[in-house]
Amino acid sequence: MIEIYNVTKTFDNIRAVDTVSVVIRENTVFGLIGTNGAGKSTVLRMISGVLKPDEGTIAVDSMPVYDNTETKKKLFFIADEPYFFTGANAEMMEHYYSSVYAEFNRDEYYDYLKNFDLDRRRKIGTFSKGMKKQLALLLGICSHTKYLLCDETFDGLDPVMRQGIKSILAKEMDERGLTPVIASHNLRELEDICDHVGLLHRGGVLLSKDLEDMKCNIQKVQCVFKSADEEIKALGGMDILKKEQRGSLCTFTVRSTKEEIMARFATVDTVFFEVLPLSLEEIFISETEVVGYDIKKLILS
Amino acid sequence: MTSKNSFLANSKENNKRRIWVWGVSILGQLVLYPGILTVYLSRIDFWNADGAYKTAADYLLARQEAVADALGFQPLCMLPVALLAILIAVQGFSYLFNRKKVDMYHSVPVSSKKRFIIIYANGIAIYMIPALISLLIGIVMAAAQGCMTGESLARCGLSLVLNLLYFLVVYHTAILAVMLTGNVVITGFAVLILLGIGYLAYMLLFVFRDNFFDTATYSFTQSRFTGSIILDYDRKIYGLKSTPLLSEAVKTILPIYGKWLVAALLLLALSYLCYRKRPSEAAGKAMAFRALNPFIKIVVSVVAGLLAGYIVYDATYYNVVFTALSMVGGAVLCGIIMEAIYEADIRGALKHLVSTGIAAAVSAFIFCFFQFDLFGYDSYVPDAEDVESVALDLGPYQNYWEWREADGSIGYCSDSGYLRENMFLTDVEAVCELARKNQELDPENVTDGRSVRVLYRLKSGKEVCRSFNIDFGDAANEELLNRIIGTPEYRNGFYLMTNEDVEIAFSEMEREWQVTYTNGTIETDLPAAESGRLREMWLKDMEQFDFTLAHNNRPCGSLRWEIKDGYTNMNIPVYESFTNTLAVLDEYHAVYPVELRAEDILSLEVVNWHPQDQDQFFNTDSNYRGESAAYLDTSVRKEFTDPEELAAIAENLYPSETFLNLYWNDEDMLENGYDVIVTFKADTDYPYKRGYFEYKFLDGRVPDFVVEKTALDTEE
Repeated sequence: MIEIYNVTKTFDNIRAVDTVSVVIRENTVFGLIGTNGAGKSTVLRMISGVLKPDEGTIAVDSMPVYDNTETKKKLFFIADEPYFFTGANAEMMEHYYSSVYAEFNRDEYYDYLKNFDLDRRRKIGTFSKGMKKQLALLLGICSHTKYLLCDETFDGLDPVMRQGIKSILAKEMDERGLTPVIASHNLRELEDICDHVGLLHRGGVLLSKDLEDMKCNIQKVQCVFKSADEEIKALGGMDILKKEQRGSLCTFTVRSTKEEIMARFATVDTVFFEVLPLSLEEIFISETEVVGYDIKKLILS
Repeated sequence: MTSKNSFLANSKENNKRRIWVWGVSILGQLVLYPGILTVYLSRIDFWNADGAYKTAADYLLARQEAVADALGFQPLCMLPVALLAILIAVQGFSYLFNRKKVDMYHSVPVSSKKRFIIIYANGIAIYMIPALISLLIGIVMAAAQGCMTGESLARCGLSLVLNLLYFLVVYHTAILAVMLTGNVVITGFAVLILLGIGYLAYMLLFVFRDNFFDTATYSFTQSRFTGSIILDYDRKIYGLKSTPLLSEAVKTILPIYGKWLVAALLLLALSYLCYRKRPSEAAGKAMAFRALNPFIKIVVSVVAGLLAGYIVYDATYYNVVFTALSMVGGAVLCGIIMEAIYEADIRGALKHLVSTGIAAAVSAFIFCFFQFDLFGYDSYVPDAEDVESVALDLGPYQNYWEWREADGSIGYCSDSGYLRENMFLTDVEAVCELARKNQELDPENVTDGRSVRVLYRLKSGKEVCRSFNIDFGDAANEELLNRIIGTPEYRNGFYLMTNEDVEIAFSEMEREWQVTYTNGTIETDLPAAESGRLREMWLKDMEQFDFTLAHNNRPCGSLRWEIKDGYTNMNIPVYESFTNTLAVLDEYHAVYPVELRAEDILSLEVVNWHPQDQDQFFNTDSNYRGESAAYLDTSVRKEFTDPEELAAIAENLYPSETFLNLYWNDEDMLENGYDVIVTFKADTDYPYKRGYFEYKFLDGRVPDFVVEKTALDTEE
């Protein structure tokens, strides 16, 4: 488990991360979302031990990470622009990483390279941006660390590759309990990958929740009531986050479980009603609007 | 399949990324050792083909010396080794400048200590392995050609260690520069500053001292501090190269090893500390530690101010107002430039004006320190009680040779160097009193002024040097000068011939040598067997030597010990009161009057150089401006043969040979505007040497008819 507690980091009088507290549980995919400059990279760089927090603590499996080799053995950090040695090919990068990560699995690595159609002897400098990200991910996965920290790594991958990487991550999570932490500025990139999401804004955490919990606790209901009384009867006492009306068709975003809503509406006489699933984007819009932020401006590009 | 995370594996990986540096090092060191050896030996062969070496032994000796020069203490190593050290350090740690690299290297499970050791140790290997291999190739090449000696081998070893230590000091300095900065350009400046600012500051402060303080002097200054390892290396390597004995070289080199090792270790400790404290986010910025920025800015700005002040002082012919303005202005300008560099933004130049202001204030203070002599530099005379001994340089030294106990040779040395090593006056009170009386003497009010230099050796171990003027014409100084000059300590410190080892050295010398007595025109060679007796008598006579004797009498001749190598000779004065010496010389009919006998003169050619007229032309006639005065021939030559005129001229002449100089009495100084060339008759009873003899008029004693006849015809 990665525990971040009241962490602050300032660069030249600019507070990049401001008293952030987040817990990243094992064997989940943690998505760290935020705009450019929100502090995602800084948080990841602190988790990976590159940066030392000015204040607060970061513990990985209860051990400090900064300047601690034992802790770093559990982490693999893929920066937003991964570095490859000048003139190196995939084979040379394997040589390096296998010299620093004792558990690096070469056979698996070369298998993956073949599956992803990455030439092991081709100079990385000639790779496309997406290929470089794939290679960085494969190096990270094959290093067999417990935590894989990815900074904007999935952004820009084509759907086929994303699916391939997702499958590998799922397999690794299943087989050895890998915990990927994925930072992105784009909600849509993470929607189908993450189990837990933390939203960073201006260096602070706006929210940190399980995606499933969020999905279960916020529902979108479309309905046509026969009368206003029926509406009050159906929604009275419920936490309505948002209401839109077009003609007689009402759309509510309600903080409640699907079962509770179904039970309420079963007792009400409606022309039509339906409980719809919310996209991650809609959930965030709802959640952040509550605390006074316009999420569309923040992370929906 | 897994790989072991081992030191060697990490080290190997690191070396993979430094292959090109290995290449540069190997190539450079092959040129430095076998390459230069080949050039040196080829040169000897070329000279040999030209017949430069008479025997096979000479040829072999030359080749052996060439080997020792090429593979031993080699001054050519200075720049390449320094550049290599900087390259290796910057390339090795330059990952710290790049955020992408820092993210990778600092996130992998390799401890920062281990990473430092790997990069650092590989750096040394990059230098040392090619150096060893290249040297070995050179040694094998020399041995194969039969010109490798045991001593040369020992010198190679000593030099290798010296170069390694030199490399380490520069290497660690460059690593420190990397640790303090955030990008390669600023690192370049930092390396230059760290390697050169000490020397620059030191040199500038000395220049200011010498220009602003009347009593400042270079004499006796034997500073071992250069402020720069590169200059230190240069100085040391030339010293060692010219040390003939291996044992002496070993004795000299061991303290250098110790000093450089300590310097290298201190710099390494500092570099490692900075490495450990360096924040990763410093990558790409100008400076790594914000807290150090003001300090660095102040130091660099103050030195820049000094430099600006010096340039303006020199360019404006010592205008103090411009100098003061340029010192402060230079510091301020440098401060704002540095701030702009710190901020990587020209608009940031005016930030942190407090530190810029401090730099300006320090520069202003330094200017005031020199201009107004805030700490009484010029009036300083130590308490006699605090002084262990004194060396006093009252005038031009008799000659510049020193007796070298190490190898029994006699070699060149500076006058102040000789006095520093040999003169230990114990009548400190007399010297201090002399200094107090004369130190603030206005040169305008002096009739017979001499510039003298004094070295106080304080009991605290510190040495203080001062220069001031003494009026030799002031009777009040006479007693003090007699107390100083009329002592064995003064004689022993002034005349090399007082050292009995020198006499022994001459008597045992394999090279041909000669003792000669001369009055300037007549030379008498004396038997070598009399060398000891002559010296003994002269020392006995010298017991009467003091200021009064020297001031009131002119030497009547001089004794010269001369090695027949064409350039080593030592002269000592003989006065008419030196009866013991003259008695021995008389036995060999060597004593002749210094005054010329008019009847022996065939002709005299007087050359009046008209130096004042030359200056006048040079300064007033625009046609001559910009031309060297040497092109303006204002000399007038006149030959005199009339016996009366010859007699009138001869009584005012004195040999112009410097060994008979009349330094001690201004009234007897020679007239430098004239030269007189004497041609003697062939049938004289005095054994004049044949040829020309240059004489000079005693000061102010040029006969009027000579002045008239050698006047410059300005209408020509």
